[in-house]
Amino acid sequence: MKTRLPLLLMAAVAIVLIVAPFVPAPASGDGAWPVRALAYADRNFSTWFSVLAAFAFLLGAASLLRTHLRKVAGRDKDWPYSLITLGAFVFVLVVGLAKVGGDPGLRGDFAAPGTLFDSVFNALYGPLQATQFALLAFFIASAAYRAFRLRSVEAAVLLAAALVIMVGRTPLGGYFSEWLPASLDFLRIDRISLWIMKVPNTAGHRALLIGIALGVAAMVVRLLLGRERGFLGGRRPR
Amino acid sequence: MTRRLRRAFGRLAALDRRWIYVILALSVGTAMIVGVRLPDRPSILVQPIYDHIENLPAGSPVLLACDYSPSSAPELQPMAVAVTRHALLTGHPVVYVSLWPEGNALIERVVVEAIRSDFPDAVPGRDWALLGYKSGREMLINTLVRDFRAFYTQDVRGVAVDSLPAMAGVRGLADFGLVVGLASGVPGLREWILFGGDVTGVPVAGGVTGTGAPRFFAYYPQQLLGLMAGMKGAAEYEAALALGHPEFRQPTMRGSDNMGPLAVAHLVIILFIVLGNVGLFFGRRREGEGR
Repeated sequence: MKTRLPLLLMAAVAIVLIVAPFVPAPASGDGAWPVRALAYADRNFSTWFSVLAAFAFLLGAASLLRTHLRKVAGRDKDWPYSLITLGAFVFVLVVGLAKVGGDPGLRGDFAAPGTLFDSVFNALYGPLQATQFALLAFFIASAAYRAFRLRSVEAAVLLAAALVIMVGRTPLGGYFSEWLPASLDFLRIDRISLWIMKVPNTAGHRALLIGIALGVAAMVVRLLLGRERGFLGGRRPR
Repeated sequence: MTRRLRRAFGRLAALDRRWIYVILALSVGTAMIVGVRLPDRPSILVQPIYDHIENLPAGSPVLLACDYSPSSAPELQPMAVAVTRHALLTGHPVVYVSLWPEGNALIERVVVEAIRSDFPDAVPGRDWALLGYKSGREMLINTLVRDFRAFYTQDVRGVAVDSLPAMAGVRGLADFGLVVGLASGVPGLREWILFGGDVTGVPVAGGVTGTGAPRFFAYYPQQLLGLMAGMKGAAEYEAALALGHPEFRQPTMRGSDNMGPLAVAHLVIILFIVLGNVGLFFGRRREGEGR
């Protein structure tokens, strides 16, 4: 019962959601009850999901607290970082809930300009995230230097494509090709760069997307048949 | 070529990465300080977005979804600013929403940068509406397709959506003239295409980070009206705006301003790739001679 009920619930909701878009909704309240029920489900399930999704934040917060409190209590490896995480979590939570610096009423916006939450976001969270992302440029430069080596024909093709894209994704692609006559316009670096993105890249990505879609469909069938039980936190799928 | 010179070239294949970091930082920093500018032109990916807004019936609202975090704001914020300027200039109210919790604060920045400075007479609620973040990911879009007010009953200031002139004719997603999804991950542009545009037929345009752009070419042009890819996409939209509305040459155009440093960064990376291959070539020759 412990696993059957959630499985049955999941299968019922999934089947209704899959079937509902294929059944035209009745114009008014009339129509057979299954049709009306499906129309109701189609109309409201998305809303219910969005409400339930909000509770995922509570679950996430509880999980974060449990994980880091355990690390601090057990003096596990790098526990001081967990302490900082917990401190930051509690600080931002209190600042947001108390609406420090803003209208404390129910309708008051906790993140309105001038609030402490807004300052924390703009002065701490924003710059920290931007810094982390900016470091990517250095890693990409270092990785490109090490990876793009002419060791084979395939590597040469990859290198040529990378160079064209790197130049083509800046205005330099256009500047370097200005001298080409109109009849050779297709040889412009920015055009070749766009062609690489639109044709070979798109072909690869479409193949990937179709593969993923087939995988998702197969997973849905497994879920409906009860073969996939990972989401119940139980045994691994057979 | 002397053996010593060959050995020196051979060493280029194994440069310490710290040299790469220092040279890249110095080059980009210098380009930013000096103010290297490289004007751009709108490409066939960006021009359709500009043309669509330009030709929308007067008063058609534009939905701008800011689904990104501060990490990708340097690439995506210039797009949000440029689209906002263009929409307000052509008389289309902008409605801001976000599928990301960080969205509200970033939308506020767009309002400050694009509206408060360039359109001081613009009226909140009439010329733009900030509906903000709601949880629910693609299921939220699913609901918005049918009924915007099922979730958005108020804007972030607590004003009833029914009293906002910007939302006057909007019942579902199809009532917007254009949906622009600016995204750096999931949920984002892909969800607006699949759950919004494909279902209602409303045109969806997008703006994504340079690294995220390749996966969206698969949707262009059938499902995606146009795509602003990375900083260059923002610069191209700014260029289209400057060409079509010369009065907008003066305000800050951060996408265009950053094209110079970006080009320098790319050139430095290309230089290191060339050096690495020169080192590999001479290293091999040295190995061959050693055998």
